[in-house]
Amino acid sequence: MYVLDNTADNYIFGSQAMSSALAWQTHGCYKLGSSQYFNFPLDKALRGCEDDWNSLDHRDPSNAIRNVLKAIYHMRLAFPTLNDGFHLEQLSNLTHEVFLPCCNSTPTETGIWPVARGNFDGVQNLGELGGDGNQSV
Amino acid sequence: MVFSNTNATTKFEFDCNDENKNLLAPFQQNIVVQNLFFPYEEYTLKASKKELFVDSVKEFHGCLDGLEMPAWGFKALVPKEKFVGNHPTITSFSLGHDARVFSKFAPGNPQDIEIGLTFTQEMDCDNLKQVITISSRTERPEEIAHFEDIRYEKVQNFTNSTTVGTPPGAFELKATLKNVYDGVHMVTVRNASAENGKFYTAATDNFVFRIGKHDNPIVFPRTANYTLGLLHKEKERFYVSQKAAGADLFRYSTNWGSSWSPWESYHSGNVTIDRQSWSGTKKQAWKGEHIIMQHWSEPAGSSDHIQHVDLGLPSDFPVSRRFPHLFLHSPFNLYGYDAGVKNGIKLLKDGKWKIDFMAEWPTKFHFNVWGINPDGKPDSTFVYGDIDRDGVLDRMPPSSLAESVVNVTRIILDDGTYNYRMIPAGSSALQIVIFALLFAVPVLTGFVAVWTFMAGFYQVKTNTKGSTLPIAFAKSMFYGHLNNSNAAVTDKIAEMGVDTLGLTTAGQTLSKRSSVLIATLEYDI
Repeated sequence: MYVLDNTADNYIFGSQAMSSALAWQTHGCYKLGSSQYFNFPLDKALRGCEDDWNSLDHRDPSNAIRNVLKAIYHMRLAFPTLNDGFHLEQLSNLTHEVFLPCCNSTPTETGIWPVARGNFDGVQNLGELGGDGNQSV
Repeated sequence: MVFSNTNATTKFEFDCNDENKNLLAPFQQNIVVQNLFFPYEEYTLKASKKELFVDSVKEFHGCLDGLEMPAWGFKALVPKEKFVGNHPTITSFSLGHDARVFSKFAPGNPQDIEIGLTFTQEMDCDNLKQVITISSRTERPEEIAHFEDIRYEKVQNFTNSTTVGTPPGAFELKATLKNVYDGVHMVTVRNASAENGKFYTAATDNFVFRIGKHDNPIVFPRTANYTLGLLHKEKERFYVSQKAAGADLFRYSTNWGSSWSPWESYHSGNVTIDRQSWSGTKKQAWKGEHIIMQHWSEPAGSSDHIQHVDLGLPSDFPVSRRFPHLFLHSPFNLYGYDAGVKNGIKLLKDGKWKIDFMAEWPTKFHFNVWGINPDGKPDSTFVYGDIDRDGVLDRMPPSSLAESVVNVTRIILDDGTYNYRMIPAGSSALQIVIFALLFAVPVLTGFVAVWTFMAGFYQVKTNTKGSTLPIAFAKSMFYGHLNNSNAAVTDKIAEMGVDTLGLTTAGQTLSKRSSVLIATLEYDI
């Protein structure tokens, strides 16, 4: 879902019906642009009215994002630490700051970083069920 | 867990010996880790310089010296022995979810539909046959669609999804659906089991598709938005023959959506229409009968299915209409209060609305369906403007007037798509000529006026011969002649010093002594 709803170029948002509705396709070709974001990737939002998919039902169980979320729910079930682990530690930080033309002197941090999720020793015991242990998903 | 936010696939290189350049793992060295997300790849951790104590034994933190990450990628890495598989999921439905299928057969005849479902894992074929079902909303509830010829095959060519972490389809079910009537159909897969019996889809997955003719507003709500031949009149009673196979409920409006009937359950065949009350000014009335049908379908979960119908229109009437009339409200007619200005919009033969509009640029306007109410105030129920400047009308309350700037003179509106356009009127060559003339003519006429004035009044004339006026000139000629013929006489008289003839005085004076008249004429301009 990518159709934009806003009526001012400095406040971009989109909301779309899950069930089939024609209006979002009818009004789907965004014309306002963005006054705030540098190189805002509008491409699809500019041509939403040409895409018949926008007026179809969107509760598609084969959608890629749904499949990822389903996998994440399964991981939370299989790994209590992902569900309840309070411990979050950044292991190293391999990012650098880039300055984009949009933002004067505000840097944008890009790169890669690993974190560890785990049992918060002394507070939690995820080996147990309930209480300060493993909660249901 | 590893995250990256680069906007393209990036191959990162790290140095495990440098504390500032290594990608540390919370696990010790030499452990094999595996990604919980697709593609479930494995990495062997190398040793870093950072110490880690496992059961009081000194070890080193594991480290990766290189890693390829997709754009905005993420990975969840766990030691290989803790890896658990994943649930199977459905990656595609071959018709496409909520696909619209055009029914090729005559109305009331069933057809066969080929469907396919792709799973991420090999599935238990016997189990699948039991958990896959179809339910239908048609005009023939007694006719039940069923699966036939279910086939399975492994997908040979994997196509990787562009979405990070999504597994591709690996196993496909194909089947033929028999006895499918027009309407809305839902294929349901309830908790299907994978081949290994260990994992299930753990979900009820519903896929919808709709079959119908072009005039079915449930299947093709955009093209079936207007139809003829739906409405019949028999002895002052109206009947609508329903076309919306797949609907559960319907309602109608005989007064352009000002009020609606209660929702009634849908059935095929004719429906009697009770006219709803309407009152308004003569200008707000409309020709012929117009009914708006609205349908709701439970499996589709939507009531955005509108069908406009006309009856009793003269033969020269446009092909379709979705508004009774439209009025342009704008500052040029004080938003409708100035009734003297013509603001009605004409419906053309091709079903589009047109008005020739002239106002001072820039200006704004909105379309008002009902115009001025009997109480003399503009109606506020159906007011269309354009807030987001996309050339498509937005219905909005009049209190939130958005500025719609018009700089041309003609407006065309398509009431099916709410799309409006400005059509430039007139010829550009003519406008260029007019512009050039407007530029040149005042300057030229200015020069002409100055020249005329100067030529007429500004001349300084040196009078060398007295008056140059024609009469005076003639006089002087006459007296000049007289003087010559009577020269002797006049000389004699002059000598005598007696002016016997008063008439000759001027001639005498002229010959004797020239007199100069200096005059200034002033005009108060």
